[in-house]
Amino acid sequence: MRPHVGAEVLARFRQGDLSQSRRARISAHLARCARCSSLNEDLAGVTTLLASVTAPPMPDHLTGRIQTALATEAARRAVPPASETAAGRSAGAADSAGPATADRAELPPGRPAPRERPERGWRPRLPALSPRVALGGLAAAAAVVLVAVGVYQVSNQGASSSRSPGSAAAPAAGKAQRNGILAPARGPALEYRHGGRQVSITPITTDTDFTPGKLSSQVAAQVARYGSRSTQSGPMSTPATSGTRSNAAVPGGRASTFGKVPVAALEGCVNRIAAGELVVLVEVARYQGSPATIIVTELSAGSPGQAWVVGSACSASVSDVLQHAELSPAG
Amino acid sequence: MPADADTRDAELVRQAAAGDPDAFGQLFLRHRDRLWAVAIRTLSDPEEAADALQDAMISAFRRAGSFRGDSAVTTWLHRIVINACLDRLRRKAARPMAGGTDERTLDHLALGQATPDPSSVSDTSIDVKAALRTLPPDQQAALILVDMLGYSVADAAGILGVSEGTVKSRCARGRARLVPRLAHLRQGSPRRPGDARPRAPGNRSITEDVQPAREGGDDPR
Repeated sequence: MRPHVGAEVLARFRQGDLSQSRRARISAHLARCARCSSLNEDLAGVTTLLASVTAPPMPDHLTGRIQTALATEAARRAVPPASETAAGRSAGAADSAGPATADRAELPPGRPAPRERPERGWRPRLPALSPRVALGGLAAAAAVVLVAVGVYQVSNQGASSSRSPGSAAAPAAGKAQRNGILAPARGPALEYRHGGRQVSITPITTDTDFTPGKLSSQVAAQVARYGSRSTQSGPMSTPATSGTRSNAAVPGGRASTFGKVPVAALEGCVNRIAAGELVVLVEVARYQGSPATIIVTELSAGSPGQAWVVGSACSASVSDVLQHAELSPAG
Repeated sequence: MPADADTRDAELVRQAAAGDPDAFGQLFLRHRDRLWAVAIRTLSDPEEAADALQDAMISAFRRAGSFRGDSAVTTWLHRIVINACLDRLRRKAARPMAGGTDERTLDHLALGQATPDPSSVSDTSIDVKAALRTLPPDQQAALILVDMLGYSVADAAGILGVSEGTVKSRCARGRARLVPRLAHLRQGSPRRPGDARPRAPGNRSITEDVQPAREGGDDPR
């Protein structure tokens, strides 16, 4: 009997991409070799198994999120960058949002219209939060995203006063800046992509403990206090490294951690979660008593937004979203 | 895809490039399900697939002006999406995340445990995806397009920007490597949570199962 046929050769045989004479030899071999004909069946089974793999449907919110991102991009193009203002961006976004929303009535036949309800398959939302999806916010030409990145406990003044994760949670709240009454410590500028450019946001750290029941109002308050909306009304013309004041500054370079948060991971996380939107707040704080970092992004001022809470694994490659919520319009 | 749909796609790309703020969103709506299917099968993790799809759409929008119609719009969009996903796969491979989903899944496979999965995807799907993840990204991409999603070799070649022969070769290699890793799934009905594995965990190590070099018995390599 001829030698057995290798799996890859047999796979090629099954695709019909061997020479005719070789195919004939293999066919003859398969007819009388139980081992190789079993392998042949196994190869057929591989394709069958691959075809049987199920995948979750596209999350309901994703269409809106991507439409919002595309509208942001379109609005960016509609306004010359040099003369861009908050009002200009807002108007540009509104121009694009109207038609985009109207298109939902023109979906191809058989395709379900986007549903306005919380996504499934992601971590559960808080019941107290609005279930609107981002697409709803698109009509208002803006979006705010809050990201709470779970990180190690961050105490007030960075590395010199940082504590171990285990001991920090309760006593840290007693220190100087309680819920941002005093000026919070600022970290190194985080660069992220927005509108095709690298822009930056300076993170802060506070002892704020965000809670599920008050998340929206707490976030709104923090945005009002510390949000860089006004200073970033023309973010595309803001130099990426301006305004940096590191709390653990390394001469000639930025600190590698902010509090106990690796800056590189935080920056990656901001990029990942913001996904091209404008970041107006990054706040290293707590959520339900556990360490957390907050990032707020928006498309234009005063718009409804989304809130995200993510775990300590958040980085450029992992989202680790713990919570996601819509914010009410800031008015 | 019918020619008129293709024409409409090309028109939308032109409109987007010409400054119509809404055209690309429409284009996305026309293709989102197919593109999502590619992203979620390439990356498995819904959040990561969502991020990759969003990045890809923004990237495609920015490149709309340079779209020359050398391929169908849908092929072009697929290419951008799968490349965005493969980039992420390669980055993950270069910097494996401790406790990442894939490792967790493999650990459970090795221990013969049911993988805890809140979305109750079948165990078979989980096993197949875990096995697929052990292949080089190029082979994964070919098998995702051809075997999982049923694209023709020609379409897959267009999407991946390689020759049909290359697609066939990647598929053949990938399938051959998967044979020993999926054998247990074809020997009986799919496992249920809590069932013992068809093979005893002590008999074959996960390493053995994952090693790519030995599958064919007489494989010439």
